[in-house]
Amino acid sequence: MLPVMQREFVEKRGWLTDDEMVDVVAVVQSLPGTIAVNMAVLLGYRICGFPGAVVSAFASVVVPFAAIVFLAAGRSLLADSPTLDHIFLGVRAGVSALILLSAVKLSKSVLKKPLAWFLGAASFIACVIFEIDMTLVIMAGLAVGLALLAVNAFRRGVKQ
Amino acid sequence: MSLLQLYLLFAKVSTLTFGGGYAMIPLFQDEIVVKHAYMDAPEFANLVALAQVTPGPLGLNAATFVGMNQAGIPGALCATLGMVTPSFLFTVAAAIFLRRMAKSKNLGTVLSGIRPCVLGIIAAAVVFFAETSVLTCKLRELLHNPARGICWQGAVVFAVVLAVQLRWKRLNVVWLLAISAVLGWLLFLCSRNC
Repeated sequence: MLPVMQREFVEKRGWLTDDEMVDVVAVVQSLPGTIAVNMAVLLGYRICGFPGAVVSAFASVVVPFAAIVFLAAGRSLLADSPTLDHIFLGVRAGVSALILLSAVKLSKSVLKKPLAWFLGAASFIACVIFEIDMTLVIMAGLAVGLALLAVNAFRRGVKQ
Repeated sequence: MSLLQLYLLFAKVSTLTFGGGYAMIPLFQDEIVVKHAYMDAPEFANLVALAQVTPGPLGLNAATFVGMNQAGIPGALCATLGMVTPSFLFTVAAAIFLRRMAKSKNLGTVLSGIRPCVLGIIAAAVVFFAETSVLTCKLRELLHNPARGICWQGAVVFAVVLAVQLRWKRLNVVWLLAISAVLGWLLFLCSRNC
C-alpha cells in the first residue's frame, strides 16, 4: 500500500513532500486502530484540514464495507455440508500458517532486547496457558512502556 | 448483542490495537469467542478467512463481518463506525502535532513495551486458529495426550502453506487460501475413499 500512496500523493499530485511522507508513515504506524484508516485520515487532514479528514475516513471504509455486506449476503446462500466443512477446515489451517508467518516477520523488528523477548514470551504464555484477558496483556505492555519512559526521564534527571 | 454494544466493543478493540490487522484478530477473538461467546471458534475463524480475501484492511473487514453476522446491515454499520471512531480521533490529534510526534523518542519508548505483547498475542492467535484446524483439541490438552489431538489433513495444509509462502514470498493471500481450500477438500476426499 505504501509505494502506491507515495507515488500518488508525493510524485503525481505533489500534496506532500518526501519528508512529510516519511513523518506520516512513522506516526500512522504508532497510532492505535486500523493503519489504512489512520493513513487516510492523516493525509486528508494534511491536505484539506478537518473536512478532508472526515471525507478520507469515509472513503477508506466505504468499499470494504460494501464488499463485506455483499459477501455476507452471498454466504448465507451456501448450505452447510460436510464438503464445505472440509474446505473451510483447510482454509483455517492456511490462515493459521499465514498468522504464524506474520508473527515471525514482526518478531524480526520487535525482538531486539532481552526485555522484549521476556514480554513476548510472557504474553504468549499468559494467553495460551492461563487464558488471561488480552486487554490486560496490552495494558500491561502499556504500563511497561510508561515505566520505561519514567526510568529514562529519571536517568536524564540524575545526569543533569 | 445490541447495536450500542457492538459499537463500543469495536471502539475498544480498535483503541487497543497497535500494529494493524493481525494485531486486531486475537483481540476480536478474545472478546467475541472467549468472553461473550457470540460465535464459536471455527465460525469466527471462517469469518476471518473470508475477511482476508475481501478487499480492504483485514481488521476492518472482520469487524464489519461480525457486525453483519450479529445484527445485519445496521450491525455492520455500527461495527465499522466503532472501528473508525478511535482511529479518527487519535489520528486527527496526531496530525496537529505531526512533526513533533514523528521526531518523538517517547512514543517509541512506550511502544517498545507494547509491541512485544502484541507479538505475544499474535502468536497466541496462531494457536487459537490451529485449534480449529490442525489440532482437534486445545493445545493444553494435547500436552497430556499427544497422539490424539492432531487432524492430519489440517496439519498437511498448514505445512504446505508455510512452505509455499516461504518459497514464493510475494504470492497473494487469496491464492494461498484458495490452495488451502482445494487441498483441504482433496485430502478429506482421499481419506474417505482409502
